[in-house]
Amino acid sequence: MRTTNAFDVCLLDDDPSVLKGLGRLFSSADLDAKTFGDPEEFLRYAQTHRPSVALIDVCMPLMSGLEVQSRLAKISPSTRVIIFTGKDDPLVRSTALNAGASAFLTKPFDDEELLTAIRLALTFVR
Amino acid sequence: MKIAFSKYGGELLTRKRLAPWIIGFVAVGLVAGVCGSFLLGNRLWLLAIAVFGIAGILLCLGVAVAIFPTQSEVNEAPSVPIEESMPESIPHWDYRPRKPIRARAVLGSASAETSDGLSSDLFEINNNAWLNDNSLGGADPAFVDGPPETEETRTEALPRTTDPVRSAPTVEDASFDVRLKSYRQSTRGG
Repeated sequence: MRTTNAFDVCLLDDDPSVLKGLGRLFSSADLDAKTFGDPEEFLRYAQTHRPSVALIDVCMPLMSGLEVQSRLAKISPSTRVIIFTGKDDPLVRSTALNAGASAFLTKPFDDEELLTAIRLALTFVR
Repeated sequence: MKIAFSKYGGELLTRKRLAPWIIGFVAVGLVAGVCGSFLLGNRLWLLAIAVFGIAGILLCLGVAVAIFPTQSEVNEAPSVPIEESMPESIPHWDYRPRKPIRARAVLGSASAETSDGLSSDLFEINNNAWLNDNSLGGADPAFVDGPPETEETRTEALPRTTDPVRSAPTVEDASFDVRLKSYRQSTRGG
């Protein structure tokens, strides 16, 4: 069951500058966002809070974003997943999308593109 | 109505700032003059010279302190507000000129991505964003059972058309399609 006071959007990336920049973007867009740098911490949070949307970076040192996506699908199936990466690999993209990702973004992406994907995912969740 | 400002306002402000220093100079000069004349009257030449010397040093130091801070304030004052008013830049974030958002099938593009197993439910925003229309049902069971471990893993993705569960339309799929069509129309209109 989803608990109260949960963030609508969770962001997982190992790069602190990306977390900081996207956090500011979400604040400016009036989105309740929580940022994570550790995949395990994010999964623990998702298991208890069931966020609506999760933005996950693919390339992370501790755990791949695709693996996080698969584990997230088990512990929180209702969470919509948006995958983003700096390396546009068609196979990774197709794998992520076929696994149920709502969107796949390659960096650098426009802020409006990201917000569009998030709002679309939130629309389908609600 | 045009409001005229005094051309010499800066000079007046400078004079106000320098007024305490001028008063101090006059006081030091008077004290030194009185003491020096007294000492000279008593023929204490060395003391008189010392008093005048100390007074001269004080006057020089006062002039220097009064002049140099005023010049430094004039030179540095405009730079401080400009630095504070500069917008904070977000590192590693791309603010390119926004392109019109358009929806089009990936399969119709010229890129060689038709062999990737992408379904026709995907549509693309610009050139680096792909939205998955058919992700309402959550993760694909085949993926959940055995996901690739790393980004470089090469596994063949199964096309969605082979999934018999997804081929059957449901009430959720119908509502999803309605919302997706309305969203696409809104993005095309904007």
